[in-house]
Amino acid sequence: MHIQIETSPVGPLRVIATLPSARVAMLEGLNGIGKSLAVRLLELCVGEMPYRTDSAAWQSLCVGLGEFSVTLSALDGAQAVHWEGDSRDWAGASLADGGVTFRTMTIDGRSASMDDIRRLVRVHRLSGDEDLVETLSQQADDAADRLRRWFRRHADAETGPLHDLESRMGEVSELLGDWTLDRFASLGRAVTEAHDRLGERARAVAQLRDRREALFEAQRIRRQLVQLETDLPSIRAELESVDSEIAELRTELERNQHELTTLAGQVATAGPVVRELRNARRTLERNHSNLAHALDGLARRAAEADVAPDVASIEAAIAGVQQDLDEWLALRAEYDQAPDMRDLIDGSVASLSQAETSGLGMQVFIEDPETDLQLTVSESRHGMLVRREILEGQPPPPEAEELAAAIAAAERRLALLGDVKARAIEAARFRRLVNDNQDRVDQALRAFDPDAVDRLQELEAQRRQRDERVLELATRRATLVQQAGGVASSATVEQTAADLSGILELLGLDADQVPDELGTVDAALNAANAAQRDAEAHHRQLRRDLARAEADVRRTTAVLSSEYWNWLVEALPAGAVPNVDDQIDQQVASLEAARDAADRVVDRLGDHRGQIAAVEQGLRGLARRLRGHELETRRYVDRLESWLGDHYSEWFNIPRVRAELLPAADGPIYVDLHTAEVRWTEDGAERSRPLEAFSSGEQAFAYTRARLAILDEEENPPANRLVVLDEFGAFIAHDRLAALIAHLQDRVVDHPTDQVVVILPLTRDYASLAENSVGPDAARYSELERQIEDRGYVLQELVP
Amino acid sequence: MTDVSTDPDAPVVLELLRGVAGASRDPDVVVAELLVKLVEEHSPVRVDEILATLIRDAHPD
Repeated sequence: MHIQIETSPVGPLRVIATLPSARVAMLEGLNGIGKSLAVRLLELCVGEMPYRTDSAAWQSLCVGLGEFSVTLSALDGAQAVHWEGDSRDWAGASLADGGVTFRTMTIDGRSASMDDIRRLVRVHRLSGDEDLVETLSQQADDAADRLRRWFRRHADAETGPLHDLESRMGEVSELLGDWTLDRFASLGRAVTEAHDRLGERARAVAQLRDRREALFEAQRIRRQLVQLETDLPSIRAELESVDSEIAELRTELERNQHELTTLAGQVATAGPVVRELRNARRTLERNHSNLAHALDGLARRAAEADVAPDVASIEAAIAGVQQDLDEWLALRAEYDQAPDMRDLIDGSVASLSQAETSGLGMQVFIEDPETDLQLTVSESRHGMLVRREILEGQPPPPEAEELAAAIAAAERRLALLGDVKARAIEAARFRRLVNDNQDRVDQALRAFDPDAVDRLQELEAQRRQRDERVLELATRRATLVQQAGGVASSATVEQTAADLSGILELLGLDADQVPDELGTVDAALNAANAAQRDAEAHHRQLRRDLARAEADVRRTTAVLSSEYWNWLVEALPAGAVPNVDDQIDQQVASLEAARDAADRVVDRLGDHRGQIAAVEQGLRGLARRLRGHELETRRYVDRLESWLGDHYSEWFNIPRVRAELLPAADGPIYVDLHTAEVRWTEDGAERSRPLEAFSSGEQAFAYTRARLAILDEEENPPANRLVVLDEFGAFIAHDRLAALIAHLQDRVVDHPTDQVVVILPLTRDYASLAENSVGPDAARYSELERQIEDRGYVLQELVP
Repeated sequence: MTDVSTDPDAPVVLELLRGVAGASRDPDVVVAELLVKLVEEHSPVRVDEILATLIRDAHPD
């Protein structure tokens, strides 16, 4: 097999152009001419990886070698294998994704795969500076390298299988939410407690309002008492005066009436005239009585309403009250929109119920891409019902309550004013009738004797004037009676004083303390109202939180029943699968159990990443310890020691290795990595030897023979094999080179397809040897001296 | 999901992880064993199947 390597390094690298084609040859060369690099490049060409990819040597090769070509010719089974490539293609590439790549790989001019090439040719490099301990250490490092590559491909946090598993579990965790039965129950208790606290606040407010009302009442009664005590005497006096005048007027009216009747009878010329006057006067008296009664009622109600008893004044008062009422009603709608919202919800729920009946329950009804919120028709309807329940139980704000009281008072005043107005209209109607009747009486009088008419008319005018005065006094009397509250008597004054005493006793106050206490209660009521508002807000927020929690849980339960999550539902235990018909607490408990299972899976997936890294660290730690350094890790070390020990033991028990290293051993050989020993039995006696003892003296030579022997165990050996023994300078120092060469020459018989090259540093001065030799030796040394001068190394074929 | 059946490091890594796991079915390496099994079967990794297995493994019944 001829080997030709052509390179044009772009960095400070050199590679020798050829290796000898003899079955056993020796290559001696100066340092730095690229002997080992040529062998490593050949290893890469046949699919081996002689470098650690994180090593400086590998990085240097990738950057510095550049374009190259390698040709193997005169092979068994083929004429030529050819590679072309550029080491810069390998920089940064993931070797896991197909290994080192070449731009061209051919066998006899046809494109070939690496498997095709490996069936034809392989390259093995045995390094003389790698003793048994170093070989075992490198095996541990190699396993760690493979694990790291595995980690990068399959356990990366951004991509790969483990990432995909974690992403899917992320979906599961997001779906299952974070509600626990404890948290859910705690929220329920918080709602109850907030409700109780709100009740306490409301009762405190009610008590303060009751006390304030009592204080107002005390003030009112006290004012009434003062009024009774100060104003009653003058009212009484005026009433007596009015009553006296009315009595006098009525006496005069009777006398006047008698004279009118007598005179009318004396002057009457005809019966019909007298009857007409009598009828007209009777009608007038009836309507006059009606007018007096109407004015009495009007005066009382007008005094009660504190309004002048005329229609214009009454209508002005009604307009003012109505304006206030309209404003307050609008303000109440701003403070308390719950009633309107309840109406809106009732209408919407009815439509959604109908949609559910039509089979649209699971259709998305509300979607907000910003918050990623989706609600189905059923969920929306349920949410609306929850909201309605909240609104139903939500007391109106204090401002709205105060407005409601004002509105009720205004409505009562409007009703009173309406009654006053009706009475005023009624009185006006009777007034018109009375006037009409007066005209009729005047008309009847004109039918009498003209001589008597003047007196009759005079008497009639007096009567009319007195009637008017009586009406005026009666109206005034009604007003006075109303002003005195209809209780204008000494007994009422005493009762009012008793009422005041009673309410003050209930309040625990003296009359003089009432104003100050009212200020204190007002302040306390403001504070209590604020506390009630806070309690309401807190209660409302908790109710909302609870409603959302319930909606979350129900939505999750509904989503879990979809086909998409079948695999999860089937994998979960029965108690961890919620059902839409379950009570909400049961659904929460099921979801919590499901999440516990999911959390354990998430933890295990996350742990896996750390575990792979820990196994890698364990392998590297054991490699370090084999080399005599600190372990620097503990996790998995015991199991890795056991596993690697078994692995190394298998190597020691290979018959050819046993024969070279422990030829006298009986039974199995064990490698104990914890003690770094090899143990075996020999003639029934237990024996042991430190691993490092295999790295010196005759054992090192035996180890090299063992490694060569291992090559013979290779499965499916190729038709062509290059075996390079590199870095064997130490063998020269210990005078074992001749024995090694002899061993290589001896094995040629059994391995005729192997091509073996021993690479050595140049240690001999061939110029001096040529000068000090004669005959053929002098000529041979001269030739070697020429090769050194020409290319920096010499080749000697030991077995052609 | 990546098909790991063609991973060149898979045989060694699988042997290693299985060796570390031993016969104790240590929870630490269950995930790895599951991946190993799927690799050995040369089937594309199916996320839901793996997760379902892990979830079943997370509860005793």
